[in-house]
Amino acid sequence: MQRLFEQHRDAELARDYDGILETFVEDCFLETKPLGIRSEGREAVRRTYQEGYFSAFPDLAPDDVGSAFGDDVMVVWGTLEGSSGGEWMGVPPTGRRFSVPFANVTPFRDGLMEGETIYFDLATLCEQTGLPLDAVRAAAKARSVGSD
Amino acid sequence: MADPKRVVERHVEAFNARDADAAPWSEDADFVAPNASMQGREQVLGFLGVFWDAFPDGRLETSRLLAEGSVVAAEGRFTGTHTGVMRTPAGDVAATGRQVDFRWMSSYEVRGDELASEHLYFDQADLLGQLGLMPATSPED
Repeated sequence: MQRLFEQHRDAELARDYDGILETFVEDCFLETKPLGIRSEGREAVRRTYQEGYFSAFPDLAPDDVGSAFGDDVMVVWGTLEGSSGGEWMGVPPTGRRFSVPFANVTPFRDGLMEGETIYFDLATLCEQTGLPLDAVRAAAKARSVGSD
Repeated sequence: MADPKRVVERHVEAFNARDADAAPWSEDADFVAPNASMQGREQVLGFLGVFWDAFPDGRLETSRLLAEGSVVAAEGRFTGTHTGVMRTPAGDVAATGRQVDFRWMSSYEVRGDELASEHLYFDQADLLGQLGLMPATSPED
């Protein structure tokens, strides 16, 4: 599990979307808890990586500081760092940096990652970046209503 | 040495029983939560007491509990009804009567049969949205 997760992190760092998706099962999911958004399937997950994460925060980088393993699940926690460098769900960027604690729960199936559930505090991220919390939440809600 | 997972379970049981005496926090425990940082058993119990007061029927449930040496990771839910005053750094929030149900994730450091630290991850806005104190994000809300 750890080796596959490291491969996943390396692909994220390289912004290698195909490489990221290769670490997931076909019917994978990506759940961002504070946004209430869950993307299902490789193409939806690819769009979330592109539009939800790396376009909005081009230098986004997790700093993993701890991990624990179960039979078919891995949990990682640390600090998520980056800058608001692009539109995030239609909300304009501020250019400001953030550094927020995060935790990531990753179940595994058939030797691949089944998905990721990501926990962080949106209010802290918005306070640091200057992004308007209400606008981000409203945009997330609109997206989750019509989402994948 | 106690089973680290069992120490976390004792914390959850003590929380649900509102039993501060049974809570396994060490005297020098530290606890980090969104927008809050507590040092020492007394402060930790004070933070948990905010939830006891605001949600008299509040309960923690764990859906995953993983141990790696002395480190434990837990994922779970908090459910409760806001029928008491919630004390916050921004002031007291009167009871709204609303039910809340939010997921959380925590990492713990266990020392002997005590909890030395907890880092709690959850979204404050999710809780405030469910209380009607800011717009909710979930489609069903």
